[in-house]
Amino acid sequence: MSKRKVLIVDDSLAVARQLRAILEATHDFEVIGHARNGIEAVKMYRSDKPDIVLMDIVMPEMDGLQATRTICALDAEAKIIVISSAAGVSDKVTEALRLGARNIISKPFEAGTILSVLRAL
Amino acid sequence: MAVKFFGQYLIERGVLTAEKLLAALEDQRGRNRRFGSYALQLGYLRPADVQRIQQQQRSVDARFGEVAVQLGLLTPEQVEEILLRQRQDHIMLGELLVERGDISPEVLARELAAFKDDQAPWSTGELLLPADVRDQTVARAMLELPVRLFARTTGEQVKVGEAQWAEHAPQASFAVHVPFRGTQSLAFGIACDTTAAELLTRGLLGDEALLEDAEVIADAVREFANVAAGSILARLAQLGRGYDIQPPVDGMPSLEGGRLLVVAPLSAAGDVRFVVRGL
Repeated sequence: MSKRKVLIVDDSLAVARQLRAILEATHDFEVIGHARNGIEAVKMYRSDKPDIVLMDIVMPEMDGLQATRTICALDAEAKIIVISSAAGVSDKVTEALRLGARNIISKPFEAGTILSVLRAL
Repeated sequence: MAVKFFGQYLIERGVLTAEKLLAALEDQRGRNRRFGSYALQLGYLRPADVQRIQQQQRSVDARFGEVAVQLGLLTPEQVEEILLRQRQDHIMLGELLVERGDISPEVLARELAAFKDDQAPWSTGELLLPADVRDQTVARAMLELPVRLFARTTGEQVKVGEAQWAEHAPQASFAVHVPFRGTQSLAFGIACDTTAAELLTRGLLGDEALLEDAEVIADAVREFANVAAGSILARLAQLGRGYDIQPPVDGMPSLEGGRLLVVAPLSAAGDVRFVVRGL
């Protein structure tokens, strides 16, 4: 089975490196890019067509909720997992799911949570 | 380890699907009536009063009942009565999920126990606040939660201690703040030395190799500020205070003519200070 292509969207370089290390330690996923804000994420989604997007919420330029809305409007089948420090706020969770996110992971996260959520997609 | 919302915890654990959570939340929103709705039903307020209170809430960081009392529209006794009725009628998400057949009572009991364990605070002593802090509840949320999170992330014992007003921002090797947007211009910040920054990096990223990169360490401190701000945001939302956070900014928050409330917890995990502006 070919590896599923993942786009990481987070303004934190440290988080992006951590996610890449978790995913690339498996044989299931391949990180194809890292966007540092929502605008870059939308551009990279169009050009690189990832299978899965890991999306932060609080980012400069365009936040992750706006980017989720835009990507889901482009592709109703988009598989977006929101990873956010704001996952404890029920309104944010509701909004992200309504906009089309498939799941929400809270920060700080554990490798096992990331992999189990992605494998369940 | 951060402040979480039970519904999100369940979907993250794969116990519930996002679709079922959304449907249950909508159901819950319809069934858990708002404060104003009780006041109208009991004849304590007229629709115009409710509108006036809601309008006032846009500029004052206070709950509906507090504003109603301030405006002389409700007595404190009436507020108490409504809060009691609201609590009695309130249906919790877990209870509703069982009622809807989305999860079994056994799964609810197991997940609730795990969730409570995850959310239990570490013993870090008591935060002492200066008596002239206007909003003690918000100050507590903004200073206590980061200290607990710092203790959990670094794995070190940390004692909260006493918060003090400061006319100047603390100087440190690493300093980051997160602006909060809402009825008040709040900001939360962390200032720490290299020892604390490295412990935070190790705790957050769990990868020793990353410690060799100075940029990653600075970024991990930013990420810690972001995670702490997210927990504060969740706690403020639980308290009925609507705020939003912006991405972390390097440096301490500007004083904007005011003072900073600073806590310097005692810890073996290096030197760290947490600051809040706008209280």
